[in-house]
Amino acid sequence: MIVPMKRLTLIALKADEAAIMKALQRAGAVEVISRGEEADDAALRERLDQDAQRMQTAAELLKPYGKKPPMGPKPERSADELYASTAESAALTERAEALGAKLAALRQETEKHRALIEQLSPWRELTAPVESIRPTKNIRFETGFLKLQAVESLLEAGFAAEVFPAGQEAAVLIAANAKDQEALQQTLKDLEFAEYSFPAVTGTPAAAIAKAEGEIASLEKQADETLAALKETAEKRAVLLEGIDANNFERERAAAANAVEKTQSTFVLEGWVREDEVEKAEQAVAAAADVFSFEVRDPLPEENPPSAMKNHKLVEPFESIVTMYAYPSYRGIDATAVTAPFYFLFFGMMLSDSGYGLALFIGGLLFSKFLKPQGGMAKLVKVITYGGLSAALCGPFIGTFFGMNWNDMFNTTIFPLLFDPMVDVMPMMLLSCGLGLAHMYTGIIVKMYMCFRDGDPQSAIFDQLSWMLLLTGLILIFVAPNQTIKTVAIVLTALGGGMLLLFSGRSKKNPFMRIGSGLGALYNITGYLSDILSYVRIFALGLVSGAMGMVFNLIGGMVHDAFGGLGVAGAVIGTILAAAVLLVLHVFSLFINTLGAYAHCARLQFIEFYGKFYEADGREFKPLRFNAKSAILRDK
Amino acid sequence: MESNGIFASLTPNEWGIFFTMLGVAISAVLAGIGSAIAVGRAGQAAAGVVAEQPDRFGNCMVLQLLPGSQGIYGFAVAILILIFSGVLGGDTAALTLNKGLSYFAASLPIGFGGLISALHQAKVAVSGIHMLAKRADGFGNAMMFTLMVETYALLSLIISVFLVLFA
Repeated sequence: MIVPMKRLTLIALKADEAAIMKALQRAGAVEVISRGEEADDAALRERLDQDAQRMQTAAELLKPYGKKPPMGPKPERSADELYASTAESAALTERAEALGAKLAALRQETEKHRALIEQLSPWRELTAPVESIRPTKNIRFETGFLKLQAVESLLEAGFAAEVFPAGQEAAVLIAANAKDQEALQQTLKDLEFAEYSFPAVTGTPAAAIAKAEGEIASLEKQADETLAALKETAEKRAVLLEGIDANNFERERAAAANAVEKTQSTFVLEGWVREDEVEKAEQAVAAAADVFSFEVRDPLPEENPPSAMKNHKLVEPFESIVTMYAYPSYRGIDATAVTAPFYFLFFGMMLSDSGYGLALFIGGLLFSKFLKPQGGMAKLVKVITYGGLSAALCGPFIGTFFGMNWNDMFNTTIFPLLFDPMVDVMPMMLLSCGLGLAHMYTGIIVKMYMCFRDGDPQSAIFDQLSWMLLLTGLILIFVAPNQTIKTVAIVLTALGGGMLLLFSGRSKKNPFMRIGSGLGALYNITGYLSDILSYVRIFALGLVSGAMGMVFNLIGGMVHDAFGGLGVAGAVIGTILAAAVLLVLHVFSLFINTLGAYAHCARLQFIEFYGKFYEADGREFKPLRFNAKSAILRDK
Repeated sequence: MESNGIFASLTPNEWGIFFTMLGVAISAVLAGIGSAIAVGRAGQAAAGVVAEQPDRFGNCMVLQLLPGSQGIYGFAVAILILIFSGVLGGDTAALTLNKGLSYFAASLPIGFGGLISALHQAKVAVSGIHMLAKRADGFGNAMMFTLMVETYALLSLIISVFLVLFA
């Protein structure tokens, strides 16, 4: 059901504001309505945002250096414990930032020296100090690179050069008389000479290289030390994550406080409270302040309260399916309770294998118990767990056990108890469509209930009930075993069709227009028929999962038989190999078929079912509270 | 008759086996090609999103996998043909040319329906994955859009299964 909301107006002294907001956040019962104006404490919020940014960057920086947290549930913390990590996480942030910057600087410096070595290495053999290669009164020098064969031409042209070949090229230092300068330039141009100028170093290139290598070694040592320090800091990354949570608490509270109207000495908080949590909210305020006015009233018709759902523990997980579609309108209906049984049944029929079902069921239970997922994830895991249970139950009726035929296992002929989808194709298809019809009728009945509730019985009868009469009648006409039932069927069809034809356009005065809209409504029959056919996917997916399991067993058997003639050793190896192959293949099949069942079940709910009644323009109730990512929050 | 070469020498039974095998190949290969391309494209898009937002991995992977089902449907039909025609059990004596052609025809809906629906489903999946990059809560919607295309692959599968069972 959708929880009724109350509109809260809280007036209290400004002096108590901080304490009251903290108490409300702790209670987690009030969604503050924003007054949509700019912040008057912009500086505080800006600082909190900056802190969040820095801490997140630091956490990201430290991530590769720390050990992966062990598998298991998040630690349990109270909000106060998370707050307590604020100072340490700020220190960790600063340390991580400093170390990160230092490491980056060291690496940049190392790169610079590496580049220098790269630049100088062709000249390693040059014995002259670099600074001595500069023009004198009579001598000009050129340094650069030439192709090997071009070097000979240069020497033949009569220039003196020192040549350091490397591969196809050679580094050359050319000395020429100042008056031959122009001739040299021309020759070099013809030989495609690539000019080179030495970087600013002193001494021979070899000495400069050795010096740079020494620098690199020292820099790398420093980098190693920095890395070690980073690793040490990363050990405490969990504290940083807690600090991020604490910062997030602050930011959310600051945003809520910003939404509050303030006068000289008081503040006015407008918000939504769940009807069943009004008392909790009031107690929280009373504990934080002495003077205040706490008033609640029902929402006005023009107001649009947020939606919160409350359901029995058994069907609660299916809220995740409903909200995946959309939040229900506050004045609409919570579809969870009607979604749950059909989702459960269809999931089982689509997977239709007791082995896979048990694997999901047990796996889901273990996952919930040991990893303690929270929030939406917890619900999703439970939905899959339920689905596994359903598949395990459906297996004996329409399916298999890990792809194996029940009859082969127990040496009977009674299985499957209902239909074998591979043999009794038509009955299985009719069963799927029949269940689909029941699903759709449930949707129509819910819509009728909503019409009656909203004081519109005409819609319930003429727009909803008429369809059930028409569809039931049409189907009965085709399957009627005798004349009596056939007559009833024709009456039902005529009644339903007549109601649609004559009353769909009941708001229209003009009789032709009225019949026109009636005909238009009747055309919707195609929509209903295609909806019914859509449920054939239950049969199809069941068939696919059964076929996949069977084929994989065949492959496993082939692997086993391939070692058949090789004595005991062959039998052992064959069994082990077959087991490994079967494990991998069945895990794959389980994964694919579970995904298919999950998605297609959701589709049947969303399109075929919710299309009949669900009003989905709601928004989630998001009270001011502690949202922790790093830990499971406990009260004290 | 010389000019007909080896085809003239095939008995109707051998022709039946040939067309049955052709059917097996068509259903597995065409649907498989479609899904391989589709999952590949969606995977590229997903990798792009996950590079920036690693927490969307689970949702992106589900969307990537959705157009993979056609390949599995094609595979299932191929196996059904192998089983029902008796090829898998080595019992092919009853495979007439007529039967073989029926099995061949049975492979066509899932072969072509699977191939083309997978390619188009991939486009929707890619768009859905891009949507996830912008809206973390868009997963349900993206999945629904993608599943709309899947319906037609399922319809092809059902007709193929019917044709196999009644061949």
